[in-house]
Amino acid sequence: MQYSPTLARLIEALRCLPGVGPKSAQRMAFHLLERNRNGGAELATAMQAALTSVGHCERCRMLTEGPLCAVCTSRQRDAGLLCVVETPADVIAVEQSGGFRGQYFVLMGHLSPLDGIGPEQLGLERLDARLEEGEVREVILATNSTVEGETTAHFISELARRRGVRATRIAHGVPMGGELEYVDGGTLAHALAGRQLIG
Amino acid sequence: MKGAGRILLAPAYLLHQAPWRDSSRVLEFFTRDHGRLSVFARGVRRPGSRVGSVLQPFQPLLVSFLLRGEAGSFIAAEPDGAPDAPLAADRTMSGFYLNELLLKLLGRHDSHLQLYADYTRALTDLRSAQPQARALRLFEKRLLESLGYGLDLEREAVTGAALRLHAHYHYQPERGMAPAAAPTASTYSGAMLCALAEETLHDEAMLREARRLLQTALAGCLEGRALKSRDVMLAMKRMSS
Repeated sequence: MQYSPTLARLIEALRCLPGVGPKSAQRMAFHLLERNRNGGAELATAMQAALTSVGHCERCRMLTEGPLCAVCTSRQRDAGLLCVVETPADVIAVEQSGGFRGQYFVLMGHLSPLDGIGPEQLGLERLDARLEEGEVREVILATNSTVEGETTAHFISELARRRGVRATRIAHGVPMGGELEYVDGGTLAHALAGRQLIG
Repeated sequence: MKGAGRILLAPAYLLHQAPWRDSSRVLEFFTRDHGRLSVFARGVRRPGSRVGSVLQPFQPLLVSFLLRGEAGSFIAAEPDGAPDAPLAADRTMSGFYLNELLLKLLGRHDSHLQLYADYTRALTDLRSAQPQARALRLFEKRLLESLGYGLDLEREAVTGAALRLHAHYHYQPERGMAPAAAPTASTYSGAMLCALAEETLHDEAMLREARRLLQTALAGCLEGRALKSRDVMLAMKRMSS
């Protein structure tokens, strides 16, 4: 069965979404065309608007329309606390934790020497310039707990040290509600190494 | 060791991993008995996948996979004994450099038992307090030997005369050492060549000289391909200096 050219194009285009294979793309296309044409039109307009207006915040590299994002412009946020994360999704995760009132810097990745991703690709010159401004008191390194994430955190901590800024690393360990028996050896070793005084 | 087959609990190190499709990864392993292998691991990037914490570079692993022709399908991985201490954060770049050398210079499915032991030793050296440069130079030398491009650090190329401690030499790729009339920026001292042969490189000047020699020899094997980890390392040095 051949799709008409426009339908084939729509199905092919939907496959650029994560987790969408040929079958799901066909289902989505038929759903939009048969049952929800208004929804489809709204999707097209929203996508067009987002693609033309959403860029990166000049200060923290978070996705936003306009030159600065809401966190960077807010007076409620503490500009002395800077949380460095790998992706925009990490910003949302930290925001949802509800416990952080500082600002962010989004690397859009991590140092990945074998893929040729170095400090330049992560915008670290911009981060270094921000540390040099003198407003930031503490950099919280919230990169992933992988060898690449640790390498990135270490490199940024060195930059911070040169600028006289305190650098801290988020803790790694046993998840909330977790049972020690099922925690892997590496995580447990981290948890033991990072133990804290109680009482 | 080409062809189909289920390989269980093969000693291996993870060299590199790259995202593949939405929830999967392509893993590059250096296995002890089957050499370098590419393995497709489906679903390991899904939330809740527990194998991610095991699949870390520089840790000895036991990997199970299904081999089909060139590439394999990942079944499982577990730590080979208690995990080694992680590489210190200021030494991981050296580890990545070793991994890139193996990725670029080893053919798939070629077993290199001695090189596997040499890689394990290089990682142990990087975890110790000795200079990183020493661990890297010794690994580079042994890697060249395993690839069949080992340097003759005992005799001159043409005459076969033994290298002398106080003489100076030119390195001629694919031939070997030729005596130099006088030391220049491109010659190598007999003392360094002997120390490299005996693996007793210690002082910094000798390590720098050995780096120059080994980089030239490795460049011949790399056939013009650049080492990305070296470029990233240089960019990091530029930024933090």
